[in-house]
Amino acid sequence: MDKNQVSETEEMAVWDGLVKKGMTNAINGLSQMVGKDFQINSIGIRKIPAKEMPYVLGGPERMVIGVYITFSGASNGHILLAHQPEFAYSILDLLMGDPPGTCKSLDEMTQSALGEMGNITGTFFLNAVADSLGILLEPSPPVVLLEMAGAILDIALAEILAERDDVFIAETSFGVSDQTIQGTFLIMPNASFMKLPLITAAGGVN
Amino acid sequence: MTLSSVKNEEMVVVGLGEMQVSNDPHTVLACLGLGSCIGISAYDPVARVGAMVHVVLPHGNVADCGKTPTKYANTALPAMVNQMESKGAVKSRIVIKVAGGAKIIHTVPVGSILDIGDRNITAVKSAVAENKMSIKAEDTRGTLGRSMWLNIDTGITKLRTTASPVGEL
Repeated sequence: MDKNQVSETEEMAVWDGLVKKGMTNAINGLSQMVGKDFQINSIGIRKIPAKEMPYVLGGPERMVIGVYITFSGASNGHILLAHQPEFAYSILDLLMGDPPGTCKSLDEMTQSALGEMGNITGTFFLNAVADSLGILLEPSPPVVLLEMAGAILDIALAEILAERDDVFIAETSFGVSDQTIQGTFLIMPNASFMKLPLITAAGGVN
Repeated sequence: MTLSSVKNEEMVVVGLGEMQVSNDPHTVLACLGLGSCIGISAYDPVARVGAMVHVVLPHGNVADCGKTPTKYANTALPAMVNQMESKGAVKSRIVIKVAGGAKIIHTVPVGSILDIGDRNITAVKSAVAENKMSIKAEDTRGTLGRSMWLNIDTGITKLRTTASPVGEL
């Protein structure tokens, strides 16, 4: 297969199944860690102009708590697990076994817990994709941020915009049935990531 | 001015890698949620022409700079001045203010190649000097996100950070 002749539509079709598998694995990991059954509300992949990215998280000025991870190996990219602060605090109450409403800000311990949560969801996603393709994808240590959505996304978008003006994203929103807890799990790969399934199918990576 | 007093119908958000130029006194230009990116605000108080650009990267290759000059620090400023001059601004009168260039990921070593905010602000300052212009005010680097607004009627540039309320830059 000539990777240069692969259409974008073919890439998206191949990725759709892989991403769903990876996202499902990631949310399962989150459920195991928190001890609560998180359900996926929506899941999908799409390509959007970079300037629209902040609106995926509610707008460039929306304050979010994000757990940011990069990955490297057979390809590179960015993972962001993002929550509105009140939802992040609710998850932390679950993690810490505290009554709802206990957590109201981030300290060293809660940042560490959130970082581990991002680490698990990111690793579960990457492992599912890597196992399916027979490749190696390694996550970086997680960084926990409370910032404007636009400012957090600048980190990933600066690198992606050096290659192209559109951003491929895989996103899922999730929550729990008996409590209002929502989050967004974003995958923002570099351009080479999209070619991986087709290259590996052609025996090009291993 | 508070954030809520900026009426949505008048506010023009300048997205990543974009530029907006206006001589409409009812317009407020805005760069929102700046992290490592740089917002450059430019205003000619006589012609009352203003512009804002949302720079993403310090430098680009020749082909990409030609296609999207406003994405890069080294090409955004000349493109902005050209557009302003086409609306009656005069380069020598243009007042420039700059915000952004933060290092949001605290663990990135200062001044390293991964510190894009630092590289962006360095490139913007070089471009300003190369174009024989000067920066009147700036709020740059650090570790906080920022938003910036330019009121075309008054020429006033406002700024807020994650940790501070709206104030004049």
